[in-house]
Amino acid sequence: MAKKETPKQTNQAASVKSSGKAGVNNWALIVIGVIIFVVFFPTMVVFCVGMFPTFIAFFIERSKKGMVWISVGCMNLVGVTPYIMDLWLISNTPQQALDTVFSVFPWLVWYSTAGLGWLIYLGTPPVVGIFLTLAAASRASTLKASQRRLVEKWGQEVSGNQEGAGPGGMMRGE
Amino acid sequence: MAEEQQQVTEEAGGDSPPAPPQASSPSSSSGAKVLLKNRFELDPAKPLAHLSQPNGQAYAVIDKRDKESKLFAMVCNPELPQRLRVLHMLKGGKAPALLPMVEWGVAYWPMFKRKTVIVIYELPLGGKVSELGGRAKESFNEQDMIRNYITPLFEGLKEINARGITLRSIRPDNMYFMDAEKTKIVFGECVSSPPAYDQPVLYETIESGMCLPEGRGEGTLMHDIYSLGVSIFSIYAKKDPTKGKTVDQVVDAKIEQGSYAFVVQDYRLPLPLVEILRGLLCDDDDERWDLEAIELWLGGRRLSPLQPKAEPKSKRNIIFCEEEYSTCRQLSRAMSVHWREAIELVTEGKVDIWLRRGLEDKEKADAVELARKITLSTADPKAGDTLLAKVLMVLDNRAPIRYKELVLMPDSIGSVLAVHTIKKGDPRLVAELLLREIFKSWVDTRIKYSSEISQSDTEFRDMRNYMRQTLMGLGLERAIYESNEAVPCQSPLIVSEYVLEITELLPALEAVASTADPKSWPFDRHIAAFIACRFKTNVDDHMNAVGDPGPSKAVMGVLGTLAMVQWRHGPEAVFDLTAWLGASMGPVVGSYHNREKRRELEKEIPRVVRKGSLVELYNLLNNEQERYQDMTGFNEAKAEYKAAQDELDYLESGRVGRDEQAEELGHQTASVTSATLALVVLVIMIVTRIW
Repeated sequence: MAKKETPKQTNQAASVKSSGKAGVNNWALIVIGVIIFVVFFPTMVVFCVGMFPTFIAFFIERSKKGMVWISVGCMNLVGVTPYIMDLWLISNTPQQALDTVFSVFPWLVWYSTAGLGWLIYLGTPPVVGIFLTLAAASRASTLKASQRRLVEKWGQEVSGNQEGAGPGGMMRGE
Repeated sequence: MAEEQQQVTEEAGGDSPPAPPQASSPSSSSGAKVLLKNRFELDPAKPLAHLSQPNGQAYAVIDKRDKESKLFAMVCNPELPQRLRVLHMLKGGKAPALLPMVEWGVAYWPMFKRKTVIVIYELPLGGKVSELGGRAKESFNEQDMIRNYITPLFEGLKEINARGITLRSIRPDNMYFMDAEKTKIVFGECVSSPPAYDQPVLYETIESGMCLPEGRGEGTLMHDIYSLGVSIFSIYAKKDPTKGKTVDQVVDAKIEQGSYAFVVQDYRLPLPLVEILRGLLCDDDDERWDLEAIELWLGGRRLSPLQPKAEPKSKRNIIFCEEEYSTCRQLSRAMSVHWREAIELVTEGKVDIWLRRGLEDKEKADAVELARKITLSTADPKAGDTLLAKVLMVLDNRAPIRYKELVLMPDSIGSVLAVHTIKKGDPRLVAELLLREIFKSWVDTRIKYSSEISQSDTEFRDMRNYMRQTLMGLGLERAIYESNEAVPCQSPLIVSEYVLEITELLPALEAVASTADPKSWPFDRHIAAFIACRFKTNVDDHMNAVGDPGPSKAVMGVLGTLAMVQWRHGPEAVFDLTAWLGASMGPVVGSYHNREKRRELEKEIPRVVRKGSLVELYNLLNNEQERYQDMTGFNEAKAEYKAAQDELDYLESGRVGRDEQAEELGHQTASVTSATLALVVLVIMIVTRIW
């Protein structure tokens, strides 16, 4: 007589299946990565070494959103791209790649551009803060005007403050 | 018992009751004639003293429709409740042996400076029967007496009894000869004051004589028959046995000697009159001659005279307040007069010992002992009063309810409450009597069941329930109106307008509105109770709102109640009253939150006020839909204001541009800037390198 599978067993089977799938995916990525690295070896050498400041930024990132590597990475890429283009347009050999990597000037360029990225990353928030403060002042005056309109229409009690919220209208004896 | 202490006057007309209020002399304040129902012209300058009664002053009157008719007007004391039910019943048709009533109504009487009840009667040309005594001695033989007095008065009493009315005012000075020849005798008025209020104690039974004047109650035919008996003797013998005696002495003498012996004393009456007077003056209501017995006697059947039944006497007397007493009735009477000392006597157990050993009445002794033991087991300091009231009922079952200074028949509780509130200005004792449920003891001590007992019990319970509640429309005021249909609305605002019917309420308020203090309200506890009692439509919701602590609800409660009255009974327009109320609508207008609505109402109210319609004013201010819209709009506005305030608080906190959010936004901006810059540079770079 065939036993029915319990929900627990079903879940376990499902998790085994999904972990198996993930393992396959990871392996596929690694294989693809290795193939790319082998095929584009010179490019990858320059890219990996040139983008080193970005990798550092990525790993030292503390904020949840992880924005620093984007700023640094974008500018770092600007510094690495000319050397990759040199490989592609002049001589795409491992020797050329190693020559580039072992030169001082490319390193200066790469770190300078990465530094510029850091500069943008650290310098923008204060500027944005100034803009926000200016916007807040404008918003506050709009809100105050809106509150004044509400008080005019509904009386002071609309603010939840009963003081001065007289019954209004005609008083007895008037 | 101040009134009981007053000296009985020489005349059989007896104890003169208190004079009506502010009754200045006619010459001092009379001037304009008073018109009643646009027909009867009363002249305050022409009093007819010889026709007046203690609480009804007689005045000359002219009937504008028939100037030849001979009439007189009786102006009633406005501080006393008149017998309205009897007035309504008598207006319907003529009773042959009753002073013919032509009309009655309410009109302003200048000497009282207020409105009061005025009754128009046909003028009795022969004057009062009592005036015979003051003139040349007219002697009758018993046949004259029977033919000219007893027979017509008996026939009259029979006819009146058939209408379900008790006169309670039978005395020679309230009997008249309608013709100048003095051949047609009639009973006089019986409506100007509460039942038997003006009766001298001589003409009242022992029990009724014990009562306060206002506490004698409607009574029964037997009370009228007793009064008729005394009146027959007074007319025949022209003697007053009460001469020089106080009310208390008269009652005590009647208890001691029996009514017949006290009234007749040593006067030698012809045998037929002895027979009827013994029958009519019998102190036991069950033994007293009724109409049938009188009719048989008038038909010539002679009966052996009734002999008074002796009260059971004790073997040894009880000493109380240095006096010896041998009968329960005498002792209870003395105890009711010496209240404090009597409580001591009862709580010491002397009364039940005397009943058990002296009188050998085990039943009464047990009842008193049980009541005493129950009282001693309670910590209530006033329990002694309740105990004594009950013991007095046990000792003398026929006696009225006695509680401290109050002595009253159960059916008079309405009159007593009214008189103590309106005239004496202090209803606390009556309230105490009702709230301490003295009446329950009275019901419990009845030997025979009767429908009247059950009716009184219900009335007492209702009054107690009203008095226990303090809401508007209830309380003492409600008890007064529920138990007295003849009490006009006692609100100080309109008391002078003598408002008896609900239809008269708004016209009366309208009349005083123009001169009233605009800061006051046209509403108080008396008006509320009067409406709750006399208005047949349910206004409980409005009435409850009047007592609300919120001024707008209270004002709307007043307006709603009066608007309901106008809607049901008119008048169509009450301009001054609407203006008065309209000026009090500040809190109601203020209860709307929307300022535009307020301004709109402030414009609208004067327009409605000019129409004089309370109903429209109420509808204007109590539009449920608009009130709902106002409330929901206000709540939304409040939420909007709060949201704005919260945002403002944040904006003004100094954290804007410096907090985490700003930093995050800065970083996002930095990322976007970097990416954009990189993209631009890369594109330029690629383009320049390829081309």
